[in-house]
Amino acid sequence: MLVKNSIPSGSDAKIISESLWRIRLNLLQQAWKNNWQIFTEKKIGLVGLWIIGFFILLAISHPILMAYWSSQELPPEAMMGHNKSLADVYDPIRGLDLRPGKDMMPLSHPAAPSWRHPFGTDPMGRDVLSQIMYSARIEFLFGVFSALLSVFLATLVGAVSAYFGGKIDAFFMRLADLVLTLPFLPFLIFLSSLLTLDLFKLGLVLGLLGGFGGRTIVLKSQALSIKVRPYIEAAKIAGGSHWHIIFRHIIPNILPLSFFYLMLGVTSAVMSEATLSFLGLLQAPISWGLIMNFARSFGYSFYEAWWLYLIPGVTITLFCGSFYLVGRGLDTLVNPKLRKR
Amino acid sequence: MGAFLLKRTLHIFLILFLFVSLTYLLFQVTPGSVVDKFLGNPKMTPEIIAKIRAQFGLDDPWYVQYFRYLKNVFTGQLGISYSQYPTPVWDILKDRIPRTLVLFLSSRVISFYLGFILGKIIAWKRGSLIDTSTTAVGITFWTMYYPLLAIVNIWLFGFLLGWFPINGFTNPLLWLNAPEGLTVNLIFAYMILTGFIFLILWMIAWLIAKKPELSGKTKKRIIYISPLMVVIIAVLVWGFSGYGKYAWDIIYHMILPIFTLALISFGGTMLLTRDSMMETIQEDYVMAARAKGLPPKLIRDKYAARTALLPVVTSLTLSLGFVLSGGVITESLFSWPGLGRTLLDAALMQDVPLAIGAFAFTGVFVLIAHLVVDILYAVLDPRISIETI
Amino acid sequence: MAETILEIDNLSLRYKTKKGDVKALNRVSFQLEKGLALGLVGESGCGKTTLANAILRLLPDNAEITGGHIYFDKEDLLLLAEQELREYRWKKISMIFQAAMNALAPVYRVGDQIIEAIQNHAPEFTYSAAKERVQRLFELVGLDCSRIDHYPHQYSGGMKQRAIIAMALACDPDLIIADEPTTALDVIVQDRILKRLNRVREELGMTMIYISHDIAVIAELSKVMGVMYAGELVEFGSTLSLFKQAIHPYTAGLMNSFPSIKGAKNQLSIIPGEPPNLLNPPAGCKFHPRCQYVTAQCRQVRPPLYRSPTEQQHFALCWHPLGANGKENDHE
Repeated sequence: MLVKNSIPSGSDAKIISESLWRIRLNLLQQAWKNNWQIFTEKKIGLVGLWIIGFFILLAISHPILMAYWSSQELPPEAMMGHNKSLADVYDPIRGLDLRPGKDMMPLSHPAAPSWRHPFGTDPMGRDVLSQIMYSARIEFLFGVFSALLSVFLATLVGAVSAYFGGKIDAFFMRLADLVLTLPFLPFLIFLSSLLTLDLFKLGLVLGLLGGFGGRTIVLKSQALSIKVRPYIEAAKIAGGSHWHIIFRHIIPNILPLSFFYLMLGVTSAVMSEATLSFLGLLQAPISWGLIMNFARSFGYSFYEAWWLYLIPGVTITLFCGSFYLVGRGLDTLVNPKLRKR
Repeated sequence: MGAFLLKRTLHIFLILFLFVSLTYLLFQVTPGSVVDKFLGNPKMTPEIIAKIRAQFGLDDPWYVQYFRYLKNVFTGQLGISYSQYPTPVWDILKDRIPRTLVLFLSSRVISFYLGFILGKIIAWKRGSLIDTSTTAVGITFWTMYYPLLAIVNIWLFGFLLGWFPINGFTNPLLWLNAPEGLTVNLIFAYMILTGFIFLILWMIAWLIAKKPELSGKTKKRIIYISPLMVVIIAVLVWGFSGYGKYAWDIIYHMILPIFTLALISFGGTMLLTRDSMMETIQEDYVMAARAKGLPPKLIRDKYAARTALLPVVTSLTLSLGFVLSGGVITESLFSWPGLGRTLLDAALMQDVPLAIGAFAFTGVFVLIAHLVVDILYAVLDPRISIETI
Repeated sequence: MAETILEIDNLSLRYKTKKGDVKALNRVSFQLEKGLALGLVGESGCGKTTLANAILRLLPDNAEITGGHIYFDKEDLLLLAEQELREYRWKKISMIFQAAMNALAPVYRVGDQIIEAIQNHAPEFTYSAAKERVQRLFELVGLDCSRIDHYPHQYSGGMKQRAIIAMALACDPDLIIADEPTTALDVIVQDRILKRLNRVREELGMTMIYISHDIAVIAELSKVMGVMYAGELVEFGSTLSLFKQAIHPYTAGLMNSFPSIKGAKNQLSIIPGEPPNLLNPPAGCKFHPRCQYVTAQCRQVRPPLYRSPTEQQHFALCWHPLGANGKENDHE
């Protein structure tokens, strides 16, 4: 829908003299430029992008910090037999801070935020900041994997069932109805009673559920509106094969909507993951939700160890919120009705 | 409208059937069947295992097992819980379903009402400071990690301010001295009955008020005063019956969970109402209403918001999953003995029959909610009556 | 001379958009006598609808009236508060909307939507009295009375249009603005509805403004006509006088681009070029890039008002009025 409208206003003769791929590239560039302009009109999407950028920095800087920490050897009197370098203190999974504080007594864990541990430590003595940074990378991989899978499937299924219609369409739509009635979290809880869920399996399940669920219906109706356009008919007459038309003409035109769902997909996947880990149903070394789960299963209330709830909770909110904001920023792009004349 | 609803009902029964079958399929294909877990005891001899397998009918062909399973689910025979042996699953569930229902319905109604009212106000004042700030608050609550919100609410209202009890369904001390035969379930059942009577009376009032002959003022009086009267009567009856304090104890424990759950979900309705209104405001019939010289509030409520309501109602089914997830966390954090917490506990303790039962009923519940939303939609949109979907 | 009911004086309006200001109306002035039918004609995007909506101030958020006055019965509508203006809406000035298909809310019965308008301005009407009035209105516009309790989706396009007309007549307004009342309908239905509308107007002695891009419809229905181009009223006068001697080259071009049944088989001429982008309109006369008589003066200075020597009410904005100074109109 957006790609089509952006034919550059150069003279026809000039376009014909250029090679096909350059025209395509040019069109694509134009389309992106237009879309970017519409996107940036709403500040809300940009705010989301900034927060995502911040999380990317957070995720990248963790391995660098770890490398730096392992080069920092501790003096023997600070070791207390366990820690050899700072990396042993700040490791997100195996770390433990046994070094004595100012009063020469070892820290009691969980420790409240201090200079040594800006976000405090968890009941097992691990540094929360390090855990948050380490998990950021995992959440990114997990969220994007699951969302990509679901959007890829939903786009393909939506385009295919819109293009072919008939029985294929009926099958996928009934399937979508079924998935739509499936309450997500109860389903995942139920699933975890049957098998042990880890991050990969969870991502797969969420991707599949998303890919055959409600998004398919919306993407299909969008694809249907593309299918009836004259240029699809023209492509058919010109001898384009089914798959050529689906991939060249239909899918590129529903991509903005797919992109919108990609953003919402990351939000919902990470939210589900965080909730499942909070409930203690996910097998993972560490994650934002698990920090809260540990605090709860060790019996610490919000009053006693607020940082173990507030910091991961706010992190999850910001992370999911940022993708949601980008999605809302894309709203105008996806729904032309909202565009101002 | 009748044909539409019949079609939807059939459709929903088909999905229910698929849903129950899916549960069975998952149960069968996952590695390590229930029996293995149950019979995992190394002391058991192969003969005993074989005997038990035969007793459970596990040696029958898959379709026999499948049909037996279907029959059992639809007749409510869900087996016996492992973790609360030997209580039948149904006996555990039948106490808990109404509690979840009340939690879910009341928080959903509150959040929908709040979200819709706020949404239409901010859409009408689009671009103003109220719009921007309320939208920001809505997005914050809507994207907030729900366990965090619940924990903070418990700490703030239960601990710091001390307004509400922090968990549980009742105060055990009060019920210890309760007269013989008075159980929580009994009082709760009467409370639900009261609520039900209230709803029916209100609906009758609505139907009376819908008559076009009545003026706007009379309509408002009927719609607002009649439920108020019913509430006053109900409070008086409960107060004089002597059981009022027990009912109040339950309500007192319900306020914070319902409020928390409503808080997390009102944002979605609000943002959607706003978006939907932004479209209807541009419609010609809204301009026509302005041209007719109608008061701005009437145009907002009767024209722009009324049609904007339709997609919001449709989204009720889509947001069901979200609210149910919130329900599980609410029940878990507030120690609320409902369906979601039962499912969670069953999953944590690998109590598969209980998990299947709780999950199947969650599914039934969702499907009924879908049907209710369909009916609501058909009532709200006159176009449904002839269109066949 | 009859009493003037509507006077528009130097009205200017712009839409603020992200790309800049769109000057949708530029110093539009005219007077309309009571009981007459005025036809406004022009290409799409020339400001006809904006002018119609501006009279009742039914403008989108981004519109801003930058100058001028709208006098209705000597009262300046632009100075009225929203509250006071509501008294004028529908009771004194009503509208027939361009998109009749969507001007009825889908969730209410058609009859109730009309009754609402009646009761809003005349609270003394009971529901049943208002309904009786709606029945009379339905008969007047040629709709079956059993349709009162139906919903808009049960109506056909032509029926909706009739219902909209009935609604416009509901409060006995002094002025009706009909904005392309029949564009969405097929030609036969269009003709029937226009005829009905005109008869009703004559019977009730109402003033009306027809807006259309179809000069033939205007010629048939209205006694006075105005031609709009790029946000300006370029020519205004009695229909007879305009057809006899168009002053503005644009008007002449517009008339030449429609076939005439009578007279010789002339080649239909088209006006070369496209209407200007109102984000950045040309200086001087807005029509100069397309005008065959263009001079340096036209490119720089806004043309003055030229009044026809034969008829005082007939005027145009042009530096080189046709029919003056011995210049011949192509049409003649």
